[in-house]
Amino acid sequence: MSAKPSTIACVGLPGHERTMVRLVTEVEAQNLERPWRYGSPDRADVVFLDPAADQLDGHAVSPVTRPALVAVINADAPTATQTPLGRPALTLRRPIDSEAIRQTLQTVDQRAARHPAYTEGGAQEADKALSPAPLGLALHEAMVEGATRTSWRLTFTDNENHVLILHPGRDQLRGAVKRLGAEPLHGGATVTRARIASETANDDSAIGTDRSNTLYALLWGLGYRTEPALPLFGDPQRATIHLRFWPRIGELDLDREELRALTRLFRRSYHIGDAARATGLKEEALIALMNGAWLAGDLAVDASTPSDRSTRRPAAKVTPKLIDRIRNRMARAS
Amino acid sequence: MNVREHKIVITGTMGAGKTTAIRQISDHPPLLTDVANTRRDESDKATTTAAFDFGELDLGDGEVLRIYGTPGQERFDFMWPIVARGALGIVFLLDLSREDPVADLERYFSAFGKQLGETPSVLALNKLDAVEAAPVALFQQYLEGRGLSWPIIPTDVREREHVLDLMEVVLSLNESLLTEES
Ligand SMILES: Nc1nc2c(ncn2[C@@H]2O[C@H](COP(=O)(O)OP(=O)(O)OP(=O)(O)O)[C@@H](O)[C@H]2O)c(=O)[nH]1
Ligand SMILES: [Mg+2]
Repeated sequence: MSAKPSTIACVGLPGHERTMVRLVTEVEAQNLERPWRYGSPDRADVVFLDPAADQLDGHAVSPVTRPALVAVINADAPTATQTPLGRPALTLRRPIDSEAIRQTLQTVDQRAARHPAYTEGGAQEADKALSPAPLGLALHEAMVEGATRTSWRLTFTDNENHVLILHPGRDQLRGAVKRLGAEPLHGGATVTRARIASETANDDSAIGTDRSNTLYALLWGLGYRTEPALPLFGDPQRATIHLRFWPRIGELDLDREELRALTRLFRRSYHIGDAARATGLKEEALIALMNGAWLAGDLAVDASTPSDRSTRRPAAKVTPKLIDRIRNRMARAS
Repeated sequence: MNVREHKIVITGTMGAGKTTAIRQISDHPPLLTDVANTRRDESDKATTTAAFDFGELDLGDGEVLRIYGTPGQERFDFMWPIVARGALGIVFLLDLSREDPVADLERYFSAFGKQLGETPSVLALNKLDAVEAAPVALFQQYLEGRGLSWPIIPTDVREREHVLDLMEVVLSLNESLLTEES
């Protein structure tokens, strides 16, 4: 990391929180890996903001430094996927303390180091001089905007020229892969993003589509592991989701809560909030799972619960209370 | 004493790992009815479960959860649907080290007949160490072809946590059905 100080700014935060952020840069300097200073948002590298504050209008962040946005929200607020200044890279829940702020700065640094070469490229609309942005953000933009407005294409390359292309603009083609393993994907593959001018741009075919298990697992891992976990499948407040196919994901090592969530969402449609409530899984964790399922093609969005031959009714004696008792009892079994 | 019984059934070929699975979660060692295996042509193991075996979890208040393992030998096929009647779930335990696990599944299907699809079911792929990769996609297609959508879980029933995962999936399937009913 360079020794040149980076700048933190606050927008829309109350006085005591601004003071806290400022104090971290000044008083806790020795606990930070590199120097930070407090400054104005138009030069900042990291901006803490409250997306719900009403004095955000008139503020803008620099398109040159393209700061990482950290949304500061109330404990019970839904995860912010958008703010008036752009998409947040991270979310902090109140109350925030100096430790949370210190960790946030560290996370921002780590992500920048992990994805050092996320740049915009491509012939149509080269947009240079962008600072590192978290991969989750790039994915989110490419998937969500790719589905609605612009057609984006993301290309991951490692230093041996193995390539993964995500091209969400084209419906069936979620990926094309050439020997790119999961490791480089999460350990510093170069990610470039290009806007595709028209559907005639067709260089994906040169690489060939691979619908094999390798690609499937790669896409699952990409959606599931990439941070921040911003919904790739649409608006999570409104969309209903279910798993069309049971995921083939042995190697991801899901924990029991996640397995429970997958089972609940298997061929039964939910709003994500309801699914979170039903499964006890945090919304962010659920979004990460659904992102994996979405990229791999297992997720159905805004489709009704399919009717199939599988069970429609539980055994006569089953009640929610019984299930809870069995679950608790199993957790204790020795 | 009058106990209320709830049950989960584990079915599978000889040596698939039913008794092993039950042993992981039962309060007592499974009530084994293992005897010397007289059908070495079906499987090479020395002992096999002759009647069904079961493990128990005491739920308190006079209620008990029994985990039944169906007898593996083919001549007991007729017992499987009887054991499974009224169960919270059936775990179909496939032994991937066997020659043709798809044919094995087929055999369970004909044994369970119409009862298939009436009970929440999970397809568990055991003995993964015998194959290079778990053929989940293959079984997915197979089930889909029969209009059945079941979770397909690669597992190792020698690991307690894996067996608990299977049980969790059975419970969650029941939860889904309950929410739909209300
Ligand atoms: N290699 C390997 N062996 C396993 C695995 N799971 C279970 N086994 C072994 O397979 C053998 C068969 O286990 P059992 O539990 O007796 O099988 P069962 O289904 O009860 O068989 P029957 O009662 O004869 O129908 C045991 O020796 C287990 O240790 C696995 O994942 N890999
Ligand atoms: Mg046995």
